[in-house]
Amino acid sequence: MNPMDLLPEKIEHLVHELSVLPFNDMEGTVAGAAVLTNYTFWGIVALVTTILIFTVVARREARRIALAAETGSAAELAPRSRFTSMIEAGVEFIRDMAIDVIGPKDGPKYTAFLGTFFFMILVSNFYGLIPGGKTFAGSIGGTVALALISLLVFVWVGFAKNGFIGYFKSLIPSGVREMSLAGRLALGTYIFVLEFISTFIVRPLTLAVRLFANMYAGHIILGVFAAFTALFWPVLEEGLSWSIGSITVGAVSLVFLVLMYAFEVFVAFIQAYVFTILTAVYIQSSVHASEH
Amino acid sequence: MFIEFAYAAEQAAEHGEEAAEGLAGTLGAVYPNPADIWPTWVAFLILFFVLYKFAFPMIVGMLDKRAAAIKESLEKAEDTRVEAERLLEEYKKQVAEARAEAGKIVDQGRKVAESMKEEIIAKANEESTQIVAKAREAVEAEKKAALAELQASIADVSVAVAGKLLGETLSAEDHAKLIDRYIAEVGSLNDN
Amino acid sequence: MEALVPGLTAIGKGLAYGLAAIGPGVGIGIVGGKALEAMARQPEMAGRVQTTMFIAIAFTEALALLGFVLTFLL
Repeated sequence: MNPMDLLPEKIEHLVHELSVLPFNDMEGTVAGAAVLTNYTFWGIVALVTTILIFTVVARREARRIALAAETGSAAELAPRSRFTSMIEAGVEFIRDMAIDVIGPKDGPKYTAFLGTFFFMILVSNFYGLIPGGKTFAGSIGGTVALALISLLVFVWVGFAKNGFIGYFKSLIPSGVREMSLAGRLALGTYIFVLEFISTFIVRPLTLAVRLFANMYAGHIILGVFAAFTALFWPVLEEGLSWSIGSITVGAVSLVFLVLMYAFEVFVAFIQAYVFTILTAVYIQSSVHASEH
Repeated sequence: MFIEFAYAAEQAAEHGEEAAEGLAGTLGAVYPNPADIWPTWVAFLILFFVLYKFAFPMIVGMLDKRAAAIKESLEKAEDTRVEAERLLEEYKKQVAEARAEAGKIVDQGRKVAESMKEEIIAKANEESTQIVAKAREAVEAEKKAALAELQASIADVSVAVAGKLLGETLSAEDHAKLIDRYIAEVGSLNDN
Repeated sequence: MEALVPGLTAIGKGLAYGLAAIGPGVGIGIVGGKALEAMARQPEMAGRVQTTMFIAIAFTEALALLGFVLTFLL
């Protein structure tokens, strides 16, 4: 049997595996009366892990701060465990990003908010890299939910900082606002419509789709290379013909699989970072909306 | 979570079997499934609550406290360094001063000794000259006294001799003149 | 005629995403290259350049992502 004959079946199986399925019945459909989908399940696993990590680290920090206050020695504040230092570095990274992007005055307030996005996506993405695991960012539902939270917050910040009317006014550049009445009507309306679509539709849509597409496409690529390896190495798959050529193709696929895996680890991090920094940028544009 | 599944099921029923297949098929990948949206919101809120209320304040507090402690100890170290440098400078100055002082004292001592020596020598010289002068004076006085005595005795002797020789021929006036002349002669002799 | 539909749909999907990816591909290349140039000229500004670069890439990428969604909608 030619290995290539089995490929469409494999791909279909892969796409099916990656689609949203009820967790308790993997063969069912979305519309089935399931309680938990496969993505939700792994999202909850990631959530529990994240909460556990941060609870442990924060309790450790609290204990050492208390100890330092008690003994009055600054040596208690020195970094001790690698794991804690790693989490601290992550938190500092988020705080520096918030201060850098939003500004030193408003930035620190949003650290926890941005950190929630970052660590939730990051931990979940790493779970998605475990074979059999999923990241909730691999389903469009999960990323849309996050993007909607981002939209809600940056629009709300815009209203709170500039007022309801002021925020919509700020969508039109100040140069246009100083034009004559006709110019304002013509160009202003045009730009307003464009900016409105860009702010309220394109921003959340791209946030959601970027994250989803990167994760989904990444997992498809990994799955395809894995399927190729399995198909061309008949040791793994019964009843398939094999030759020197097919062994070579399987080996090359395996090498690419490993390389792509490494790249996906990088993508898992970079997408969490991009989602967070874009949310920060959108919040910044709302905070300073009246200035441009 | 039951709600959105009920919603999805309802939709599927509304659009028939085909729609349900469409959702799970091609559209499935980009159709936001409500079954994923609600749990994600709940998860986000829970995580946000934990991070905002508990974890981040602790960790950020730790970072800030550590930064403050490091800054403080660095400043303290800088202060200590400056103080140490100042002290070192001071001690160096003191040592230099002490050395200069000692040198001065030695110089002074030498000078004093020098001057003392000179003084002693000068005193000794003076004393010796004084002694010599005194001795000379004494010798002079002795000599004068001896001369005067000699004069007196010579005059007496010569008067007696002359009186014997001339008898009563000489008047008292001539006698005095003669003595004076003789004394002058003797004095001139003495001058030579 | 009916038999052609799946094939033509597949071609259409491929074209939709492929064409949508051309512009952003070139654009992201330009953004990345210029950012690299800027960072090489002023390494002390690397942090800010990187942030701005990510934002610019995100805006450029939006077009490709719309194409990606469109592929599934076809």
